[in-house]
Amino acid sequence: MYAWGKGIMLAKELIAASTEPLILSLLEQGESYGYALIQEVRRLSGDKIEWTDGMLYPVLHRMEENGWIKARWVEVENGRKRKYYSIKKDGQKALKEKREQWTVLNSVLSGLWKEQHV
Amino acid sequence: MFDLDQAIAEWRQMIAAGIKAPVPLDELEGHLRDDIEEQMRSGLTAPRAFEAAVERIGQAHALKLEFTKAGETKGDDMINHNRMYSAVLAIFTVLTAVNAIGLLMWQRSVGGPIGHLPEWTVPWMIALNFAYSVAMGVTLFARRYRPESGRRLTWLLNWALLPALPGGTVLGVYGLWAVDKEETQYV
Repeated sequence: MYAWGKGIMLAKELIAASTEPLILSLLEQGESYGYALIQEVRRLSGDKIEWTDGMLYPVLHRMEENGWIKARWVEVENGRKRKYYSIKKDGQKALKEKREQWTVLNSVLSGLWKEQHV
Repeated sequence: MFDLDQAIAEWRQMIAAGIKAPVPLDELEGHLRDDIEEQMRSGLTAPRAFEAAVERIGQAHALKLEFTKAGETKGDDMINHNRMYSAVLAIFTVLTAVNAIGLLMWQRSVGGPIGHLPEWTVPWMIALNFAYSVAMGVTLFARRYRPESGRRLTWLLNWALLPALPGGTVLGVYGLWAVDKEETQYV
């Protein structure tokens, strides 16, 4: 999974590490499907995180196998079907852990950078 | 005249033929269609929107890498029923062909009834063995080179195999039960 932004480019490793927490956080707000998840991440990041389309699905399927999320097919307009994903209990647990880790990282970096600027 | 459904069907076949890992074709097609609709809403023509969407979702080659990478951790401990089925089908194709040829040669050289079966059944048995062998061979070929039609043919063949006691019945039941399940596709 890679990303590029207007001016800045997120490192591949950073994108890879943040994909699962991002998906889990988005699904905690309600069920969604692959295409919408990509659009939503793009919008929220101001086009700075752009998941490649083909990459998202293997990640979603792996998370489904882990028991973090579950999927169901929903019939939408003109007979088409869409695979909607929603978060499960284990997914919420995993999200909580990831959230704590990212919060620690965020506060340490923020603190360090604040000192530098003062 | 550009036919979007046709273009998408061809794209599906290309993806299915190019990737050996299980691929959620239906889900990817849904994604592609969402993207095409979005592009067309912002003014692109259907062919342009299709091209752009295919490029974004990744060509067969790039998709293949993604799914192969993701598939590495699983699949090793799982029985790949589709592959197993194809292998058994190949053996059955050869066996029934050999059986048919054997019966034909026997009829020409020795003749007469086989066991307690009346003589008139022999030509029918030869024809039936040939028919099954051809049907299985064609299905096998389609599964390898025309995955979409291969799935339909497989389904038909499995039902046709059910009365062919005992081996055909077992293979038919196995095929109906385990092969081409869900939207994932093994080639």
